[in-house]
Amino acid sequence: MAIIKRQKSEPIQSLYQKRITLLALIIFFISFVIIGRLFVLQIWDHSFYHDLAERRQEVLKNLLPLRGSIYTKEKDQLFPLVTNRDYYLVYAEPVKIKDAKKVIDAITPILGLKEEEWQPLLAKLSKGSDPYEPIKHKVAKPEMEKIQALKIEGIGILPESYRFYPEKGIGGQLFGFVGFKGDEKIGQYGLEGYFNQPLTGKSGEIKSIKDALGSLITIGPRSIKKAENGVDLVLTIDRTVQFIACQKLKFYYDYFRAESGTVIIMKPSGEILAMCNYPDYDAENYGEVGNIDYFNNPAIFAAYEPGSVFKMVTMAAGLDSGKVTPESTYIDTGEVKIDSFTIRNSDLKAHGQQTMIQVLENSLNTGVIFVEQLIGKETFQKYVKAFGFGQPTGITLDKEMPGDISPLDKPGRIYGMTSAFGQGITVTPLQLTAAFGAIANKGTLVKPYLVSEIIHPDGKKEEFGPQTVRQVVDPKTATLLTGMLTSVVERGYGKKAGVKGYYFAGKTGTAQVPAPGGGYGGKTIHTFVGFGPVSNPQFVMLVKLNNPSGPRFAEDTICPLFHDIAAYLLNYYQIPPDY
Amino acid sequence: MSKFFRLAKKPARESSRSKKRFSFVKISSQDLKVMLVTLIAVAGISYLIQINSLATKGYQIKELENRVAELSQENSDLQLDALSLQSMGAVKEKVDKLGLVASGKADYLQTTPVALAR
Repeated sequence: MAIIKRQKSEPIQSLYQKRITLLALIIFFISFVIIGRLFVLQIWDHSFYHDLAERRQEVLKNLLPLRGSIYTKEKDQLFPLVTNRDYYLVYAEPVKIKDAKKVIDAITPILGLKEEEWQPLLAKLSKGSDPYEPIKHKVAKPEMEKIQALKIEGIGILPESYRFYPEKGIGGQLFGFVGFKGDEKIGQYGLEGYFNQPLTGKSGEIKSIKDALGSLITIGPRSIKKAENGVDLVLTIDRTVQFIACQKLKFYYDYFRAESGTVIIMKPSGEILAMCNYPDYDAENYGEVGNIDYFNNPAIFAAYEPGSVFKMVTMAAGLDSGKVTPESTYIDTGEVKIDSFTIRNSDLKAHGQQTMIQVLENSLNTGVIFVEQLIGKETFQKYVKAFGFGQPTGITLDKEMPGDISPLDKPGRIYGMTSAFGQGITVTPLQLTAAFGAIANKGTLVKPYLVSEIIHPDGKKEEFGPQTVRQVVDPKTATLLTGMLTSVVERGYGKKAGVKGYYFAGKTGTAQVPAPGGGYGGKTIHTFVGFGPVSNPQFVMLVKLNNPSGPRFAEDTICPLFHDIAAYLLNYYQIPPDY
Repeated sequence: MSKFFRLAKKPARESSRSKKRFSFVKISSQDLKVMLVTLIAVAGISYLIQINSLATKGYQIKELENRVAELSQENSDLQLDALSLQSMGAVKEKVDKLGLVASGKADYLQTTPVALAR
């Protein structure tokens, strides 16, 4: 029996052993497969599945910074000239819309859509496969709320930030605008263009996980890189002065049916109080501008042949180099012949013996040619450059032109002679203002500036003040020239610019505009630049009208504009009279 | 028996009592299991409650944040409307409507030195 038992148990034990071994092998194999699969999923293809899961669960949002505002300061209070305002985008998801016609009927009266707008929209909304279609940008809050109240399936609303200008119609060319370049909003022209990067700030991002409904889960992992808002700019512009300057300019522009006009008002220390051009554009609706040229600021962009107003520079060079005094005389024969050219006075008259004071009073071309010939072209050119012509002033505005004084490099006496009375070379209105500012400022040229403060998002302030460029002429020269320019306003062509009770210094210029085919055509540019009161100059002002109709000379067109604005400023700044 | 003698004898009795006090309570393995399961269940439930309340608070915070954003937006809109009303253009319009006139020439008083004698 015992032998039989031993014989029977051995195969059973062996079978069990085999089965266990087989089971172990199967378990081992399955485990191996599982581990292998896990290895592939978690390690080998980690990045793929990680990204897949991330896309399902994680949310990555760009945090947009708030664009900085542009302010002006009024008695230590900041008043925004350019800031941001939230509007709304109304959009459609045609895939969710069942009856497109009904939707159009409901939204058209609220959004004020015209037939040419809603008809193509109806076709787009009828396309069931279209996932997204914008309907109207820049929708105001009351309209947005009406649309929201309709609760139409497939119609959505998104907030959008736009630039807002509380003061309408003053300085579109000064501020510039924020427009789209592709999908990105970019500041273009003017201050917006020059300070685009600091005004924009830096984008941030938020990374978190979301629930099934797409809301962020508070307890989930979250990383936030905060957006850094743009800086704020504080301008030297006086809101009231800017408004009045623009209004008066528009009045004279309309009255003389001019092609365009410019006014610049600057403190002798370089602070720009007003910079206005007409025609201008509404920066809020920059897309409606018919002519793209209107985006450029003529005060810094439109270099032109200045004409007689440039005689101030020639006379300053003559006085400062000691070649002439205000009482120096010459004989005016009415014309100067050089090679095959004959240069005449604007009144075509010969005045006989004339002093340098009379040269400026009567705006004699022959007189400044006499001065230029005395000092020589090289010295004259040195003074022209020293006054800042031929190079940008460095004002913080986009697209400033340097002007062109290269004709003075050319050989030939004619170039120096014509430049002496402002022909053949080009300058910008701002360069002229700065040059007269140097005379008002005892011969020191200062850099014109528009931004007095930059306020960073953390409250840190960068302040900017007067910046001396160079001493152009001796203070004595500046004083003598101021006297001569005062005589221009008191007795010369600038009479109509003067204000009773005050002494002003200034010079008129009626420049011929070069014709496209060469030579000069019938168009003229009228300029007057002056400063006052001469005892203690408070402001320098340039006024300019391009091709005004009616009177031939600047004294009848532009001098009254200077007078009107100057009279207002004297009253506004409460400047007591000289006599 | 004096008081001091009684006190001297006391420690002998106290030690026999403390022996009884610190004798271990016998807990069966079954009880231990029940206790462990209960402890885990309580900890789990309290964790769930905590997490749930945190998540709910998250939604409440979000709602409040939305409300704050809405009010800030309204405030900003009102400020911008006020700015438009303070603009030079708006003021000029009102001045014209009211028929106000610009101030005329200002007279300045000149202070001249005066000699006084007694």
